[in-house]
Amino acid sequence: MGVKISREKWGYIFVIPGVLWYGLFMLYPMYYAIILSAHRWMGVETNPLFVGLDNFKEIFTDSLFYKSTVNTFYFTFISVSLTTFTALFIAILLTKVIKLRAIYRTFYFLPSVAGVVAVGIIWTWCYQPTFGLFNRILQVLHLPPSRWIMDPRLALFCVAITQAWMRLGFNVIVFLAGLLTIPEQFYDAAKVDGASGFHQLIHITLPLARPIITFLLIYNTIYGLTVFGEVYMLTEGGPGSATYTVAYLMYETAFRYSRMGKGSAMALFLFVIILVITVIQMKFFERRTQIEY
Amino acid sequence: MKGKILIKSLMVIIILALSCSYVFTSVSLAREKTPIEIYNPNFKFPTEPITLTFWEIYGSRPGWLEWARKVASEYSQIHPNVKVKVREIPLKEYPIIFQSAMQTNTMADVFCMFRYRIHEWGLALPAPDWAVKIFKTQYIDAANSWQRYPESGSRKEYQGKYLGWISSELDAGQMLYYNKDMFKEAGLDPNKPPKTSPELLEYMKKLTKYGPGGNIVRGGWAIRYLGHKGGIEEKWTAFLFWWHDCRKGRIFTEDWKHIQAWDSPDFVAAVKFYQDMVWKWKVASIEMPVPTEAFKLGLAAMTNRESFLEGILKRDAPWIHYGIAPIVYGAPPYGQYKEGVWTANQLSCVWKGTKYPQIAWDFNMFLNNDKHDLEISKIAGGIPRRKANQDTPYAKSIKWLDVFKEAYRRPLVRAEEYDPYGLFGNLEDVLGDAVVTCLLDPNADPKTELKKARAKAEEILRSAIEAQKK
Repeated sequence: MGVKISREKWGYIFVIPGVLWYGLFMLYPMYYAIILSAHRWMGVETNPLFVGLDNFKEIFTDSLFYKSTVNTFYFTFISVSLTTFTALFIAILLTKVIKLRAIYRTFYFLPSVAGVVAVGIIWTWCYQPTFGLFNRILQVLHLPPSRWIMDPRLALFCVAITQAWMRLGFNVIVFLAGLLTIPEQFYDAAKVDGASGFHQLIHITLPLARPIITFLLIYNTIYGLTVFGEVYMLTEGGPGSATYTVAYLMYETAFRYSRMGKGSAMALFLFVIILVITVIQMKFFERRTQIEY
Repeated sequence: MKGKILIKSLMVIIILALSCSYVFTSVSLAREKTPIEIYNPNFKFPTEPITLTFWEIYGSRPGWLEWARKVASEYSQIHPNVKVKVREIPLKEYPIIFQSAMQTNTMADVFCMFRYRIHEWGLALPAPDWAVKIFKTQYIDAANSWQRYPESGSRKEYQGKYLGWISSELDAGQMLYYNKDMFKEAGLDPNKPPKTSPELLEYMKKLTKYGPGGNIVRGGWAIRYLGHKGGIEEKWTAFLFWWHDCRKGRIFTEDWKHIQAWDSPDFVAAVKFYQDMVWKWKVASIEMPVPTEAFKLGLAAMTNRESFLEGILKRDAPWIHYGIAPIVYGAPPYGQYKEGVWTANQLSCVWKGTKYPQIAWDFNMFLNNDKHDLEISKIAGGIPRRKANQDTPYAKSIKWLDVFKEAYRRPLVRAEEYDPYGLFGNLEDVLGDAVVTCLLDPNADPKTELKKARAKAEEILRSAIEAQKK
């Protein structure tokens, strides 16, 4: 006499491992970070000291935190713009390519497969002012050399380019997948009506690609706001504090200075920022993404 | 007949030789036995299977990891029931790994770590009496003075206690490295490196080479301006101590309640000198790679680093003909002090929460018995810590032995990294931030930047003191 389990219950049973995994490694750390943000804890004592809102007061009066926040927004703006719109442009071009599309797709996707550490090492060499690739190219073209990531004014922009390069392939693939689902008849009808390529782009492609643009904008924004690996590998926040981002400062505060509570307060701040921006983006695009073919 | 007698005699000789070699081997093995059996007869070495873990953070240095594994295997030969697992901890990631391990009770029994971290996190189990006896009698004074925490203001359990042996290298701290070929080319005597601050500046000017656009193609000095700000500040400190009395410390005041007057004339002069090296005298470039790389690649004529640079140069750039000298001391018009030396700052310790304190300490001392001390000194390029190894050909062959002796004639820097609040790394970075800001910006005013840094550091310190009161 076996116990009969309904189909619905089986569903719940199969979901349990995922929920446990998510709860243990996502929700619990989030909950613990909220608790820690009200404590002073070096990561080694058994009893963290309750300090209320002191960690928040401290971060909001910290000039480096302010600078890191500004840097994070600047970085996100550059990285998201570069990634999203370059990827859209390439994807549109790729829709016109029929024969070697798979090869091009692989070609663009390759940087996304490489790890951030490998990418960081390669780009550090490319940017090196004395013997790096980019200055060698400028030298061949008889152009003045640049200090790239060694220049406080350029460094963050250089890091953003590196991230955009890494993320481009994934964005191209997603855009391409979306663009290829747009029915060909729309373009045929537009051509019959005498619409130019530019008009087809403005009136057909972009409106119908809006859901994918929304998705990628949100996705890339989150990725940009939480940037850490690229900064860690390329500049370690330098030169000076030129490339400090909130995530990098959070890491330094928690793990270099052993201020887990203050680091958690920063994490919470970043979480709220991401939440607000994501909600705004979703609301903004919500009305515009209802598409019916 | 004679042949048989000869064979028998030969056999007797062989048997005797074998017996003798067995006896000698046994005796030498007995001598190799670990100190705990010699000094702590009350401890009965257990017979059940035991696994110890040993973490080291210098795996990237050539030969270190292999050496650690070899010693672990030797230990298991002496104590077959004890297995020692050696793990390399990447230097960049060690804080996360150590903090996680402490929380999850998976810390290594024996480990190498920076002294200030040992203090900050309360990691170490102080040495038992038998080990203290060894430290006091078998180690040279220079090593001895760094194996305990004589000036610890907070951790009473560490005050005056021995926590481990110097695990990386015993060296002369920051030393002057200079390229002899470049000296010759610039018309300087390669056997007479600069000794004073005015001499250093004069040498830098002569050694710097410029490209057609006025950019530096070879620096007179390889300056540290990248990476952790604490590291930048540390290299700059060699210049600070021309003006500032190193015995007063550079971070905290003597009562540990305030920050040093970072905006005082001595600190300002040191930052100004550093800034002028880049922007006024143009003898150091902020486009070069980090000093180690720049010196190795022949992009700079001089720099200051610890003894390990010698090992790197031997491995990666054997064609560079370099000399090593004591770090330059101050002389008017650039400073006045001759002091400013501090040395190795990592210890090999036992985790305070280890399940096997006796065995862990036994293994820790085994790692640095006479034989292993000499081995690791050769690998790390440092001076042996034990008295027994001071007259070895290796110790006498150390290129910078005189630099070491000179360094120890100078007063040591106040060991202020043992601060009671665990803020050393944080505050060092704040000071480093002011230094690097002035290095990168010719218009940055050192006094203003140092004043801002001091105010920020005071705020961090005040908050920590308040938290400690709670």
